[in-house]
Parts: sequence; structure tokens; C-alpha cells
Amino acid sequence: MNITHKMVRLAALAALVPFAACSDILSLDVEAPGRIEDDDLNIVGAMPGIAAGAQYNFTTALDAVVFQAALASKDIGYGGSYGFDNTAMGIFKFEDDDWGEYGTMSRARWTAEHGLMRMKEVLGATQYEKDASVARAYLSGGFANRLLGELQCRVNFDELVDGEYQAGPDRPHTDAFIRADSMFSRAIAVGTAAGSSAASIVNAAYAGRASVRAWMGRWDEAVVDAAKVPTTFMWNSTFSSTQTNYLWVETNSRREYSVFGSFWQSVTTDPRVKWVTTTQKGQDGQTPFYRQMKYATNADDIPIAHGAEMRVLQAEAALRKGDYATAETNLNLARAKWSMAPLTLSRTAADAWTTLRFERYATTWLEGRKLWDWRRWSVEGAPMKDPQSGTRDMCWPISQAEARANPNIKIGAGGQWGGCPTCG
Amino acid sequence: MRRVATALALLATSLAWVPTATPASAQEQGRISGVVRSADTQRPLSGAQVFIQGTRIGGLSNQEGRYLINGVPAGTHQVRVTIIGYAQTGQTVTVAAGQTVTADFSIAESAVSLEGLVVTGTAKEVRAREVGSALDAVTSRELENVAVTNAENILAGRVPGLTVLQGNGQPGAGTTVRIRAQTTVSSTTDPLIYVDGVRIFHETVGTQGGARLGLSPLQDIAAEDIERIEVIKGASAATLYGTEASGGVIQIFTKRGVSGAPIWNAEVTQGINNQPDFNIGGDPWDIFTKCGTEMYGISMQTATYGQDQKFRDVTCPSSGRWFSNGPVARYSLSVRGGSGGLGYFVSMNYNDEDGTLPTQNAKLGGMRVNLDFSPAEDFKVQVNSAISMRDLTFVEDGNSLRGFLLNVGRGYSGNYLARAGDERCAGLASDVTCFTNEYIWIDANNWTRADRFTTGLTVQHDATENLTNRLVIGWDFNQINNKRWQKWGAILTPLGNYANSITYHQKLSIDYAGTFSKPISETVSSAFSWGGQIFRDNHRRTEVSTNDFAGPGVPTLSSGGRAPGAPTDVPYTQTNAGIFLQEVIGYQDLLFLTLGLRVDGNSAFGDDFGLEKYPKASVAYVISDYGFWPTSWWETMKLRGAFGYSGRAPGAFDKLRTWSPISDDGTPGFSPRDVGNSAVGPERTREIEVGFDASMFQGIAGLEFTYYNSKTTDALVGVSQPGSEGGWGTRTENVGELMAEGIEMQVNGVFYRSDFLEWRGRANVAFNRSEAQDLNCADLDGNAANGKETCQIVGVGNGAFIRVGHTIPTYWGWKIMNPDEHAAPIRSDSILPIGPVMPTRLLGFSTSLSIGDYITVDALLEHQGGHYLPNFTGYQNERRGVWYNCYEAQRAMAAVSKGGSPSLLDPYTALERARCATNIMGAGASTNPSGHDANYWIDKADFWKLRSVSVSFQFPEAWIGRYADRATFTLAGRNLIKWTDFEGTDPEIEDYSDRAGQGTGAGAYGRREYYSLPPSRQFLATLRVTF
Repeated sequence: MNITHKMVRLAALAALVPFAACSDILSLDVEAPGRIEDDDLNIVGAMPGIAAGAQYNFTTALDAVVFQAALASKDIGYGGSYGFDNTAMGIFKFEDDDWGEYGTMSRARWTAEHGLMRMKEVLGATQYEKDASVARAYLSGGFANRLLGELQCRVNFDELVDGEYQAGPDRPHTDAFIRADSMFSRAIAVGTAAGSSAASIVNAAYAGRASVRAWMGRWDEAVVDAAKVPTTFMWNSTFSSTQTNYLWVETNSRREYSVFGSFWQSVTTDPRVKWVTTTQKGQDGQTPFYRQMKYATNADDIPIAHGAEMRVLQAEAALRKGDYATAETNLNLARAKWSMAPLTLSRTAADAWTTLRFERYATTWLEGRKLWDWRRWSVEGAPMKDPQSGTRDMCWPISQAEARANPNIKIGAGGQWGGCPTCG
Repeated sequence: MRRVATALALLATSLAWVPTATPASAQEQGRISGVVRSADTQRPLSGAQVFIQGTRIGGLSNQEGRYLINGVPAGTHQVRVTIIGYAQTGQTVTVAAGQTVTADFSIAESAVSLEGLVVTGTAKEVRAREVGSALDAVTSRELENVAVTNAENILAGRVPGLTVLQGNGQPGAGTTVRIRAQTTVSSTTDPLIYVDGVRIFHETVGTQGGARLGLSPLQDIAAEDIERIEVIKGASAATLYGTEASGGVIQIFTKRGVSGAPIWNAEVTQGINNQPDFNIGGDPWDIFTKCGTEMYGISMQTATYGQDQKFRDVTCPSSGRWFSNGPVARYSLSVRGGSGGLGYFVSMNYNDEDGTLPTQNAKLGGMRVNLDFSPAEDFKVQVNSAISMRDLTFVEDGNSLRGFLLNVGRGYSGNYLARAGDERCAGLASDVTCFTNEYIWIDANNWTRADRFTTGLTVQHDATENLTNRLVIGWDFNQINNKRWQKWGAILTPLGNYANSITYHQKLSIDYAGTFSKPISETVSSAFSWGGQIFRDNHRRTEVSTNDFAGPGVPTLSSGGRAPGAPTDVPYTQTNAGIFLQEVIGYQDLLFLTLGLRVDGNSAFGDDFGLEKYPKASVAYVISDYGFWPTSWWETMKLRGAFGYSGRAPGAFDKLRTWSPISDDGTPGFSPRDVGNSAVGPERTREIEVGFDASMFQGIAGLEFTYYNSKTTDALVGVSQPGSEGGWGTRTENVGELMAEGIEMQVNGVFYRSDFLEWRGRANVAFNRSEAQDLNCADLDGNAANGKETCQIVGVGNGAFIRVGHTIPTYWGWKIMNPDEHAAPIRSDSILPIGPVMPTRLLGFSTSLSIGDYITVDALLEHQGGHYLPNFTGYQNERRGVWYNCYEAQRAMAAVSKGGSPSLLDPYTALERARCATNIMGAGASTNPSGHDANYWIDKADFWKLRSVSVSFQFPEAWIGRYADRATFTLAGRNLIKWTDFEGTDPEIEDYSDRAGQGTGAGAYGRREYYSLPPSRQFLATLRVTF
């Protein structure tokens, strides 16, 4: 071989190597602008974003489940093409795996709870105890746990094992209420310390804690919390033109859900239950399409907790004690929010409960709450139980996706992993 | 960077030790020219490689069979001619300095040519006899008279084991191309594509949501430009292509310049697109695409179900049918020639065709410039550049509220119910419901502009007689701009909306290969190859939408008053780099053993993974060259076997744990995005392939047979993560094991030959089978009694799953267990496998009949079978009482439900009863669990299609005189006849929007026919002139 030629070639290659090493062409690092790497979030400036992410994921979860809960509880009727016939019939089949939203609800819980762990590490103990973002994350975690407790037959959480968080076994759905209660309490404490900027968070936390304490049977404590929430107060899952309220989508352009065939089909003048008739058919081409108007645009918010609900909760607490007058007063305080005429509550338990159920259903229409009301009252029996709930399924089993991926989930009663829908 | 440095060091080392060329001394030179003809027909042969044996000096024959070799050293040389489909031949030529010697060749046809040069899975061009894997090539000579527009048309039905599904019938819609059985559960199945040695962006890209179709890169390569296509089908052949090559490789070679005077080719085509009737069960309204004075559905309202429901669409054309013929016009012009060491091929093409519905239009144009020159005696340089442009207008299709068939095809249940007081409804009887479906295309506009620019520089340095170095630098740029616009005043969206998505993809490639060939002894030869490639992909997809215009007019993205969602912006950059080594040892030119190894790094590999290694080995044994072989009637027999690995890279983000930026009512925040896996690597497919190529009866008959068996290990599976651990969805892990096997045969031959008539044909037969063998299987809780033995069940859309023990992928669903009994349907207790998503049986029959010197008839018949497809058009119409085939059964069911005799149902089978049982006012699912389920509409999708027929007339020389060298007039038809029992619009349908995210489509394989427009027929007349 000609030594000169060889030297030239080696020199050329040697010159190429640093060029290549510096060049983008040879970089084996994947470049993914727009996605944020996990470690980059460990800075103080990212903490408001962590809290916003927790609330965003709760909004996403509520948006995903609210219409299914409404469908299952006859808050709205089915006239679509998605194949939710089973849900509309009150049949929750584990094998159908329709309830993939379990993962969405769990994500809402996880982003709040693990976000708080990150916040504690990044902010330090002192700032952590008075930071409005921390209070906000606690609040989102509380509502996420309440959502799980209300809609799931059983629940599970990730749990600390040997220093690592792992998907845990299934537990009674009331465990979610216990976690929610704790998180609402922390939201109140930290929010109060944070000052006026967190006043709404504190109000919402009282409303959330009032509800879960009621669901745990601690009605006296629930009434104390509820009383702190003004009737006009609202805490919403916020939607916007860029984060669409899908219940609006499904009841407008899609025409998947119609008030026709729902509990409210014959209720035409209640300002809390706004809907209109149309000449159109639902997406199935058969069902008369009656459009809900509670959410009139895709940016309309879904209430998570509000003062009117608290008045109805106080009314229920009173009715449980046979205090018809207090119950009537609170129901009328709630109705006044919509400028509705006062009602006179029957002093007969069965009739009074019928009225209270109607008032609660109307006050929380299309907010994803009625299925839980059916369920808790069904367990308690007459006069609370709503005859309309019949023998329908009233809670969802843990999803197949969770069961398959989590070795700690056992087969429950009814042959379904994570509990049977009719087990209360 | 460590891996890059390693790869680079290896490459540098290999280059550094390449022996240096010794400059050739100047010699006196002459030229050789002549004509290459077929010995059987005496017709000129284009594309023949004529070269001086033992050198790199040579040239190509042009369309008239003429060739010219410049720069031939004075002296006596052995000149050889090779061309695929013909036996090699040669003659001794003596060249004097400064003179041109004529050497004409007449070469015999060979059903299996072992001397043709191919690049199939090799480091450099080699003779077919040396290759140990199946060789499949389609050449331009086979397509001269056939109605093909682009590369995907060429491949359909012509390559055994290659499936081309015409996914949608709109002009400009792309096809789905798959090679052999599926060997992945999460990655793209699109094969890699090379054009003139440059790897291009090979993935199908979706249009805007409304049109629901994909654009295939193969559409960008005009048929007129293609010299030949080679298909590398399995991992064993694709090893040297490394990561990403498991889905096979398609190598396209475009035409090149040839020495001699310029030769022009002009082509003009006129024709029509025509939509044939669906002809489903005698439906007189053809899924309501034919307009009657009044049409009928069956009302499913409580009070009247089972009754005729009259309706009329007052906007239906006066012709009585929504479909009409769409004109097709195509023009192309090319010139090729060369002199003085420069060769050129320049082509331009322009197509303009309307669809069978108003507003459907496809305009396609392109230009290609291929240049060859030799700056020095031992250097050859090719510069190839091409630009293609597609301007496409679609109607809304598929499962869209504004979809054509979803509305027209739903008859009484369509969306475009006329507004009260619409004057066009005046005069209709009071019991006739008035519809105005014309608004489907007045209101909706779907437009796509797709541009591609590909350029490549190839430098070949023949340093010595034994040493060749080749460097290819390529750049491929794609831009797909989709717009969807619902105008202000539209019925369904009165304020209108507008969405715009743009996909950019650039692929930069650097590909070096060197080969040192030298006889080791008189009987043993050696060819050692080395090289490396770097591919860098830059991708970006953005989408922005706006809603609610203030008034009429053509909107922009700032016209709307409201943004319906956050903008989408998905950019990424990914790099793959690899090096390879290969040694081919030949023994007596009969036996060839190839050993190779490729080592790859990829930016998508996890940080803990490292490099991937893909070995290969193959054997080719030309047993017919032995003396004992009965060559008098069986002249060629090559046995071959190959073993090798190839891979598929993980997704660009699979290794990273990332968060997405979100906005919670204006507050920015973070949400879990990718869970990440730092150990993720490529999936590896190992394939064993054996087969033979035989030619008999003096080239009249040929047979190629291949059996392959592949096993994919470390298959990338999206392993579900418990929602309770954060709801991250799935994590991509290397935990799957898949198998695939199949046989492929090609039989070709001349059935009859006389002076006046020649009839030849080719049959392709392929069967494949695949099975998922392990998908992260584990007994989750260690207690078999708990039933928690689980393997990952991978949902791939539309009721299709990949599950252990079943074909990849398979439709699952409830089944009627007594389908043919005239009895109440009995539903299975659980969902069961129904059948494969993709064809398992592929047959293609092509034939060519030459009558006299002037007339040629070509035809291609194709069968695909063994697969299933959901007929959701039937299902959705049935549940609305507007599926003609269910009318009678539904009337009977209605009568029975009103108290009629159950015997009214006797004429109907259990399956008919289940399919036609409608969900009357919400009572269906619970009261009649055997009725009303989309699963019952997943049907066999076997079909036969007469893909093309053409009749060509070559004008006698006396007619064209001095105006042209050759002129041909061709009448051709495509998609002429379909035979199938599938009741939907077409068994080949693929709704591209079903593919994940309308991006690459990876991981979403389930198909469905959901009010999708079927491929239309084409009738074309073409005048082709060479001058």
C-alpha cells in the first residue's frame, strides 16, 4: 500500500471524527422538546405547576366519569352509538372493561398525593405548611379520593413496601373517604396558614370534608363543616375553550345522551334541571333528542362542591334526626339560590325523604353524584332507599386493567376482581 | 455519545485499512455499441446491463435495446449481458483505439435468472446466484402496458407474501403494505423504503380527521420512473439493514441515463373513475346511494316498529344516483440519454383526477432528475433528485358526522334532515320525511397538500479491480399539510370550524459500504464487505383548530372566536447508527456461503441498553451446474437457505419518564406522560428461510418456493401499569415472544408460443400463520386457583387483540354458537376469537397474451383470504332499521313482539336473528342478550378482484414513420370485478383514523369498514410514444 495515500486517508478520517462527534447528525440522544423530563420538576418554581397538574387530572377524571355516572343513575338517558347500553341498563360488567376510567381517577389521586411528596421535598417543611399550592394539591387529592369512594365498589392505592411505592391490594371503598377526610383537613390547615389567597380552597375543603364525613356516618361533624360554606359558594372543575366539557360535546354535536328516557324527562320547569326538546334524534337514529342545557357551552364548569349542596346535606342530617323544620329550612335556603319558591316538607318520613331525594338530585344534577346517593340510601333501606334504584348495579368494580397489572388484587364477591357492583 | 464514538471508531478503522487504489495508467480507448434483443421475440430489451467482464466498465440498454460503452481500453474483451428474466450471455469483442465496435446480443429468456445483478440484502450488487434468500423483483418491462400509477399499484398482487390493501376509495388515498406475517405487537408494520439507495421516510401519514385515510410514501414514486423494484421480505434477508428492518425492505430503482442520443417518452392518459353498485343482497337502493322517488326504512319507534318509513332526499342528483363518473387525466414526459461519460434521465408527470363524488379531486405532479457521470476513470457519481406534489380534496368519509355514507347510507337515520320549511321539500306527501344530504360536501372541506423532495448523492470508487467503495448521502424531506373546514352556516356546526395540521419529516442518511473481492484459489472466491449507516430523523406534527366564525368567507386560523382545544405540537429527533461486516465465500461458482454481522445503536434505546447485534448466515447452492443435472429440460436449480436477525426500534420516547405541559383553566402545570424504561431495547426477529429457484424447459417454466419461520423475541409490549401507580398507561418493555411462518411460491411460464401468439402467466401463492407465544405472561399472585395467570392482552383497536396462542392480531367478540340453526340464537359465554385481521392467504395471477406483433393483453387477478373485517355499516344500519338485508327478519321480529306467532321467525337462522335483532327503545341488550351486538357483524373478508385488464396496440412502424420510434395505444381497466361474500362496502377497507394518533399507526392494527368509500373502478386509454 502506498504509505502516502494511507497517511492522507487517516488524516482525513481523523479530521472527520471530531466533526462527527460534535455534529447533531451523530447524536444518539433522543430530542423531545415539549415533554418535560421528570428530574426537571424538582425546583421550587415548578410547584404551582404540580398543584395545577393535580387539579387538571381531577377535572379530567370527573369529566370522564360524570356522564357514565349520570347514565347509570338515570340522570340522563342514552340515545347514542357508543354501546353504553349496559351502563344505561345499570349493568356494570367487569369483562366489558368499560370502566377504564378507574385508571383516570387513580391518576388524579396519584398526581395529588405524589405531587405533595415532591412538594415537601422541594419546598422544605416550613414553606410546605403555608404554601397555597400545597393546599390546592391537598384539596385535589381529597376530591379525587372522594370520587373513588363514591363510585367504586372497592378501591386500591399504591402503598409503601420496602421503601418503594407499589400498587396495593383492594380495600373497602370507605378507605378512600378516610384518605379524603385527611387530605381535606390538611387543605384546611395549610390553606388557612397560607392566608387569604387560599380562602376559596379552605371553603371547598370544608365542603369536601363535610360530604365525606357524612358518608362515613359522622353527620354531626359534617353539619359543622357544611355550615361554614356559604350557599352561593361554588368550587368547580374548570373547563375552557381549550379543555372541553365532554358532557357538552356528547349532548350537543354528538347527541349521545338525551334527557328523554331519564328521570328528568317529565320535569320541565325546574331551573336546576335545564333542558330543551329538539326535533332531532339521538345518535342511534331512534331516540328523541332532548338536549341538556345545564352545560350550555363546552367551557361550562362542572361543580365539585357548592353551598347549595351543603344546605341539602344539612337538611338530610336534620331529617335523619326527624327534625323536619330544620330540614325544610335548609332545603329552601338551597332553592333560594335559584329563586325558587319555598317548599313545604311533609312530616311523613317516606314523603319527606322523597322530597329530599328529589331536591338533592336536582341540586347536583349532572355532577356525577346521584349514583352514590342511590347506593348509600339503598344500603340504608326505607325510607331512604330510592325505589327507582331497584336492583341495578350502583358501583363499579376495579378495572380489569388494574387487576391484570396488579398482583395484589384478588377476586372478590360476585366473581369479579375488586368487588361486585351490587354489594353496596 | 459513547455508542456513537464506538461506531465511528469501528467505521474509521475499517476504512483506514482499505487498500489504496493504484491509479490506472492512461490507455488508448474505443467504444462498443449494439442492440440487445430477446432471442424468443426479437423485441429490443431495455435495462440490460452490458459490461466488460472483470471491469466496472459498462452501460445500460435503452428502450430500443441500444447500448453504448465508452472508454473501453483497446484490446480484446469478453462482453457480458445480464438482465433479470434472461440467461446471461456474452461475446468476445476486439476494440481498436478511437473506434466503435458493434456487438449485438440476442439473449434467451430464463424463468429464473441467476446472473442478473441484484442488491437484495447485500452490501453491493451481486449476481442472483450468490444470494441465499428469496429474490422478488418487478421490472418495468412487466409493466409497460399495465394500468399502474405508482409503486404501490405495481406491487399489488405481483410479489408473493406482500399484502397491499386498498384502504379507501377516494382519489389520492394510500394503501396499506405489509410483508409476510406480522411480527410485532406495538411497532409499525410499514416496510423500509429505499429509492436509488437513499432511505426515505417510509411511514404512512394520516390526513385530517374527516377523510380518514392515509398517504403512502409509495404513492410518491411515479410508475413511469421505475426501472425495477426489489422486495426484501424477511429478517434473514434484511439483517444488513439492521434495526427497523423487521418489516422488510422495498428497494426502488428508477430509470437512469444511457449512452446515446436522447430518447423521449411521452404518455397521455384519459379515463374515468367509476363507482360500481354495491350489490348487497339485492338492495334496490344500494345503501341509499340510488335515489328513489321515495325510499323505505323500517321504523324502530315504539309505536310503529316494523312499519315502512318513507323518506326522500330532495338533493339527490337527477341522475338518480349520488355517484357519477370522475374524469382522469395523466400526462408524463421523460428523456434519457448520455454521452461523454454523462448519463441523464429527466421525467415529469402530472395527474388530475376527479372522484365519483363531487369535490373529490387528486392532483399529483412530480419531476425526477437522475444524473450519472464519471469524474475519473475509477469514480462513478450519481445524483438523483425527485420532487413530488399531491394536492388532494376529499369528502368526509367513515365514522364522521358529516361522512358521505354515514349520512346518505343511513337513509332515514341520516343527519341531514331537512330544516322545517325548506322549500325543496314542498310537495312531498305528509308521510315522507325530507332529507338534504347535499350539505355533506357543501359544508365540509378536506384538503391535503403533500410534498416530498428526495435527493441523493452516490459516489462509487472502484479503487482496484477488487476493491469497491460506495458512499450514499441522502436527504428526504416531507411536508403534509391537512386542512379541514366546516364553513360558517353549516347545518351541523352553524358557526363553522377549521383545523390545520402539518407534518414535517426529514430523514438524513449517510451510507457507506466497501467490498474487497478476490479469488483465494482457482475454486474459492472471497468478497469481504464492511460499512456503516447513520440515519437521522427529524419529525414534527402540529395541529391547531379554531371554531366559531363571525360570518362567511374562507377562514384562517385567526378567524375563529374560540379554540376548541389546545394546539398539538409533537416534535422529535431520532438517530440510528450501525456498522456491518460481511464475508461471501464462493466455491466453484456453485456454492456461496455468506456470513454477516450488523451492530446498531439507536437514540430510542434505553440508556442502560447499549448496542444491538444482528448476525446472519446464508447459503446458495446452484446444483444445476453439476454435470449430472438434467439440464436438457431442467436448466436451473438453486437451493438456498438463510438465517438472520433484524430488529425494530422502540418508540422515540419509550425510554424517558416525561411529563406533559397542561393548562388548568389558564394555570400551567404538569401531567404524567411517559412512564419510561431505561432498559428498553429493540425487538429482535430471527428468521430461518429455505427454498429453491428452478427454471425448466428452456426458460419456459419457472418455480420459486420459500418456507420461512421467524421468531421475535424481546418483542416490545406496552405493559399495563396499575392505575394506582399513577395512571401512566403502559410501559414499553421487551417481554414478548411471537412466531410467524409461511410458504411462498411463484410459478411462471409460457403456456403457448408460436410465431403469431404467445401466452404467458405467473401465479403467486402465499400462506402465512402467526402466533403470540408470550406476552409478559405471569401468574400474578402465585395462586393458579385465583385465575390471575395472566398474559398481557394487547388491544389493537376495533375489537382486535393480540393474545397468547392466537394469530397476530385477531378479532375477538361474542359469537352465536348455533349460527345456521333456525332457532333462537345462543350466545357464547365469553368473548371468543373470531378470526385474523390480516389475510393469511394471498394469491395473484397475472397473464399476458401477445397476438402478432402488435397486440398485447395483460390481466391481473388477486385473491386475499383467511381474514375478517367488521361490517359496521351493516351493524349501524341494522340497529337503525335501515339495512335492507334485515328488513324481512325485522318485520317478523316486530310482529312477534306484538303478539304474532313465534313461527314467523322460522325462516331465519340464529345468526340472522342475532344480527338483525335491533335494540328497540333500549330494550335490546338486557332483554335479548343474543341480539344487537357489533360482534356479530365481524365477517369473513375473503375476496377475489380482477385488479387490472389492459389491451395494448403497438403501432406498426409504417404507421408512425419518421415521427416516432415506437407508439402504443392501451385501453386498461382497474378494479373491474370483485367477488366476495363480505356485506360491507369493500373487504379491503382500512379507516386510517383508527391508527393511533394519526401518526405512524404503530400499535393500532384493527381494521373496520365503517361507512367507508370503496375503491372505484378506473377505465383508462393511454397513448405512449417514444421518439
